[in-house]
Amino acid sequence: MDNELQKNESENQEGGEPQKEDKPSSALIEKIQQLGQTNVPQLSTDSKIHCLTIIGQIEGHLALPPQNKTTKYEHLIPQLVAIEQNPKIEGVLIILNTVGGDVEAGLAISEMLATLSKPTVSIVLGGGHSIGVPIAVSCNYSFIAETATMTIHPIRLTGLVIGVPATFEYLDKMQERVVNFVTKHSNISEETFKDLMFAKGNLTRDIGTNVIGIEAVKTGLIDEVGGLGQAMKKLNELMELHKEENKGLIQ
Amino acid sequence: MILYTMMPYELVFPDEADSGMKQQQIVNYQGIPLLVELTDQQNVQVIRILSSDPQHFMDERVCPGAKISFGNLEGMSAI
Repeated sequence: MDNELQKNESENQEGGEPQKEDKPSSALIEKIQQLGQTNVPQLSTDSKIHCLTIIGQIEGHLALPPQNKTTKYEHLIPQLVAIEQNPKIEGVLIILNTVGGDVEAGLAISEMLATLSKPTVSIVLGGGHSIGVPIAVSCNYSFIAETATMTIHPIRLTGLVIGVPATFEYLDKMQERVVNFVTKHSNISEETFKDLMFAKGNLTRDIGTNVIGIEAVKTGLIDEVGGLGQAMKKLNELMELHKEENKGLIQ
Repeated sequence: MILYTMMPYELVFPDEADSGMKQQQIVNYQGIPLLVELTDQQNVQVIRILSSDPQHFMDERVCPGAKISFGNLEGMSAI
């Protein structure tokens, strides 16, 4: 009974939202009369598609100074676990506008996305640089906005000269992990990716390449140039396919 | 930790420690995880919505900048 009342209330609220501006006080009084309080916990209409935004720096083992805008690993991972478990969520949209960040945290998020059993689609808007590249390609299908860019450059230790061969090897292995992941999850070949990574004369302070929109698609890194509309359409298509596959399994 | 970013190191870690930041906490307000800042004794102000449900972003009670009284918060949990 109580549930029904709440349901009705939340439905009323949603239905009545456009008119809310006309008579806000009467709606409020109605609420007080009906439930004796103004703050009604809404039964949120569960969205089929959830959305994760990867912005700023990807923060890993070390908390970055507070002026950095960060995407925290410990926020995203539990959300992905919840998305995987919740049967009501059918698809995930990943929106990237990141400058990069921690290698291990970035790869962790990428692996989680790549192994998620539900359809995933990513859009690179603005920028998906450095460790944002594996995250972008980890999804089932990836989009890049026409104006968006992705910087591909080698992993290095803050521009310092590497003195010990072991350090170099460690960095090289770290880089290999990124390269392997990207080549495994996208259509780019290792050779092309490394060519882009070690290209000279493209970036002012670094070696590497800045690929913009269509170039990312041409190199095979990203699947298609597009924005929100295309990405949602693709995600819905993938969700339909996923549903049919599951049906087949049950029968 | 190795940072793989196109941001220069000096921008990520500036020299002068800027301690002007207010205390931020993660709270759960009616099932919506929020990053909030303490404004005064009674209220917190929403900085960021951490939920992945796009509907939560349409909720005007928790839009960034909204103030929430301590009394309405279920559980305050520190970062």
